[in-house]
Amino acid sequence: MSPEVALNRISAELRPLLCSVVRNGRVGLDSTNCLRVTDLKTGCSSLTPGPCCDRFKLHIPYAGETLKWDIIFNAQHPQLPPDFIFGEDAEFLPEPSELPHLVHWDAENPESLLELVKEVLQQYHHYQCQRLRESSRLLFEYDSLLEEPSYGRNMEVYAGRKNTWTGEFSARFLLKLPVDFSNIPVYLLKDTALDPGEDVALLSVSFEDAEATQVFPKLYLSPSIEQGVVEYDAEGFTKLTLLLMWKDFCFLVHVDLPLYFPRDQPTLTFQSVYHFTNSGQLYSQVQKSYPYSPRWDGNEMAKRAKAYFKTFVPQFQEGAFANGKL
Amino acid sequence: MAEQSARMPGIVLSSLMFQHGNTDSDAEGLVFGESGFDEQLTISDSQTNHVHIQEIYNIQKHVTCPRLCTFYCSSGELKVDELQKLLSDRKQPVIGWFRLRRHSEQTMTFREKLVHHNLSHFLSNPNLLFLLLTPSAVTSSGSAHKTEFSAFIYRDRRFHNVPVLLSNLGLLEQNAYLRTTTPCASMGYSRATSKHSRRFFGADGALSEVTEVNLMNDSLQVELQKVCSAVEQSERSVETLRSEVSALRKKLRKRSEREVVTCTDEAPPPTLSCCSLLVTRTLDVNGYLVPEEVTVATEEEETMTTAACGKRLRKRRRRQI
Repeated sequence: MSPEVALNRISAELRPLLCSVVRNGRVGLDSTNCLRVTDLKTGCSSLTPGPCCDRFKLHIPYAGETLKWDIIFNAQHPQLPPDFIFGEDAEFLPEPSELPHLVHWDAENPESLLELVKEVLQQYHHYQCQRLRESSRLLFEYDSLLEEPSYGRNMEVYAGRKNTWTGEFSARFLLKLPVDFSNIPVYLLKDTALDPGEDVALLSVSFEDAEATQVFPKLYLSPSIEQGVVEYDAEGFTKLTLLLMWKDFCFLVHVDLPLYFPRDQPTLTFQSVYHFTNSGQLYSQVQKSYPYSPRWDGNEMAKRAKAYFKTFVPQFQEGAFANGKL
Repeated sequence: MAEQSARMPGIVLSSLMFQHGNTDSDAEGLVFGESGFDEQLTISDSQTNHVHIQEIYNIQKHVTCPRLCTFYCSSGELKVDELQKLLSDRKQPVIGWFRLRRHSEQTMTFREKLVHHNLSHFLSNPNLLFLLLTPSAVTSSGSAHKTEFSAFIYRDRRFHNVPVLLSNLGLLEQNAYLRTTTPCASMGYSRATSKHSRRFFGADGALSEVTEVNLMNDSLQVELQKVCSAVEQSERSVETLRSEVSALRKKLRKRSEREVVTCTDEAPPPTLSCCSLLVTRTLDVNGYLVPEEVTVATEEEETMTTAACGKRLRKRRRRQI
């Protein structure tokens, strides 16, 4: 259901509240996905002239899942706060004192519903983290991440259903990687009205069993980030190829992480997109000695590598022109 | 562990459904009745002593709140004063509360759970019952509706669904539709009905509302008859006009046919000269008719012929003389 259709069917008094949700509703780490509204229904009798819908299902992206919560208003009493049905999570019962937008519900404020959803989602996150106690190993993983300030504040946890027959228990962690995207170039969009959202790199780690013997990582990049990356190893995350430009000179940089990274230094391979060698391959130069320290964090490594590129690329360009054929 | 079930008379359920059917929003209220344990002792060949314990909640009455969120606030906290007003002058104990929620799931909401906990604590009744009715339209045109109902109770840190049994609602058979009510000889029944009968029955013993409906029906019939008479008169005048139009058309058609015949084939008017009796004959001396050739002539020719005959007659007379 498109936002416009939902807004046309909702009761007039509730429309401002829903408008904020469907137009500005980005909650959680995955800000590329907006909140969606479906299954609009009414609590009025069939004789009431429309539009009078006052209850709907809200789809919320969370930790790689989509939560489907029923939100119930009353069109005849629009000043009353909404009520919730939390789908399959029947045991989830948030603490009302932690929901100030519910306790002091303001029907006149169009942002009230969106803020309340954010507060309830925060409570849901705490509820899922509590459920990790069913597995000591997963709880350990969670506590380890919590100790890292850059991850602890930017993490969503979803604990799956415990299989009553096998006792198996699964969980998923969604982490926002602390990467500095300030130097990413402006992203050109085909649809200028589309908001690409915040630049973000999310790592999803799924534990299929309680002992964490089967682990499946996935990397999600926001569109503007994906534009700058030619390809990368989506399973092992050991290879990355970037297409860069320096003073109208385009070149590829292949980054290969060794087996014992970060102890061992990654290999950088510079490759021209214009020049070929005598054997017909693209002209390239491999660099294994450049400023590096295994004690640097990811951001520092990227910053230092970028600084190295700036100093090395002129030399590489000269070599490509001198030794390569167009 | 005892099995739990809620029992409700059909009249309570139907009055709940009727009340909500006439309400333009969700509704809620309190439920009164009594709860207890029913112990059944079963003796069979295999087991000599089998005790089956049932926990039964008998719903006998309900009271609907004037509006939503009457006795609680947005966070589920109770408004004690409002609750006391609802509970005042109630002789039967509160065994639960109910909610009628259109087009929604048959499961408790977040606030309903909070209110249930708080109400259970306030009434000091850990076995408080929550009755949920969810009416919804079955067809998109709204021609058919259904009402699902269930009851919930909080036990072992979660809410359990409790089966609801409707009492005095047996199998419906064709001959179960009785045309006359069965008379009751009970003195208590007579006292109760006579106490309230004036509100429902008129002086002639018929239901007051039925009399009013019949009067309205009579007025409708009168109006309908007036309309029917007007329609009949209109139809008759239309029929008359049609027949007049038809006659006029027929006349016009005949006239136009006659005019066509006159123009194409016009016969000469009959004249005296054609009559054989009036044609001059010549007789001989013996008085016998002398045969003459008679022809049909035009008027001019007749005039000339008449003149010629006259001349010949004079000539014959002159010869005879």
